[in-house]
Amino acid sequence: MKQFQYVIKDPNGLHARPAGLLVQQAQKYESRIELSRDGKSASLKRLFAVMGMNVKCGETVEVVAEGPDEEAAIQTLEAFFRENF
Amino acid sequence: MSEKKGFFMHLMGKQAVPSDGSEIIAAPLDGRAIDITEVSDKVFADKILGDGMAVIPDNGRLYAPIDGTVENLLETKHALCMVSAGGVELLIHVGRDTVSLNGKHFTMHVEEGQKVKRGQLLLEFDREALLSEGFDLATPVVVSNSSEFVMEKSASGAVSCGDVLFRLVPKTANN
Repeated sequence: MKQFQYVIKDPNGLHARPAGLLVQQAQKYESRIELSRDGKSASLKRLFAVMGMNVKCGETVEVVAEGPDEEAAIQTLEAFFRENF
Repeated sequence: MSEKKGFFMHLMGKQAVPSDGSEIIAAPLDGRAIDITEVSDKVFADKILGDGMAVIPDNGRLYAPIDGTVENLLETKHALCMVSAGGVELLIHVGRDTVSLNGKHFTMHVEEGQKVKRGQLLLEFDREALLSEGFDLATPVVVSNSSEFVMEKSASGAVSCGDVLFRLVPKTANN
């Protein structure tokens, strides 16, 4: 299991367009990937699940990957969060 | 005109999920329908948020394209997510880069978790103000889980609210 935490800096939070790009990245991996915040979690591979989390600017999220390609998934996703949110 | 109205009423009376499980996604706006690949925002055109169509609106009133639940409203009021009884996950996103307005020019008429009927007013926006500020108002209507359905799109061109935008047939284990 691999994970990272990230504080959202985008003033609009995890909104539709970049969330779509994020989900597309996550879907490239076989591992189970979850996004969580305050004990609530959702699959990072489903757009509606991610958007339903209503993640806002300033909030801390955690991304956890578990599976054969967890290391690569976490590396890619952490870089994606830094660049886009 | 009367023919159009008749068609709309016909749609309104239809069951949300007919016996073959197919669902009709109606145009949420009056305007001109285009394929999703024709919108200027590449993220939508590349179907990254799902396959579907877009409507370039003639006015600022957006109605529910399906019977379903308002799953998620963006705080910025420019987009919303709906889920139908048959599991269609629909994202409606008014215009391009409208997230930057932070809700200005938009009025939401529904709440998160609310059940709505096709044809119910969901939100209004000030079309003229948005256009004068230079926004591209092509409004994608996309299915985020479109890989679970076979999509039959209507032809591009003039549409009125309630006209069929596309039809979705669930894929079964056999196809």
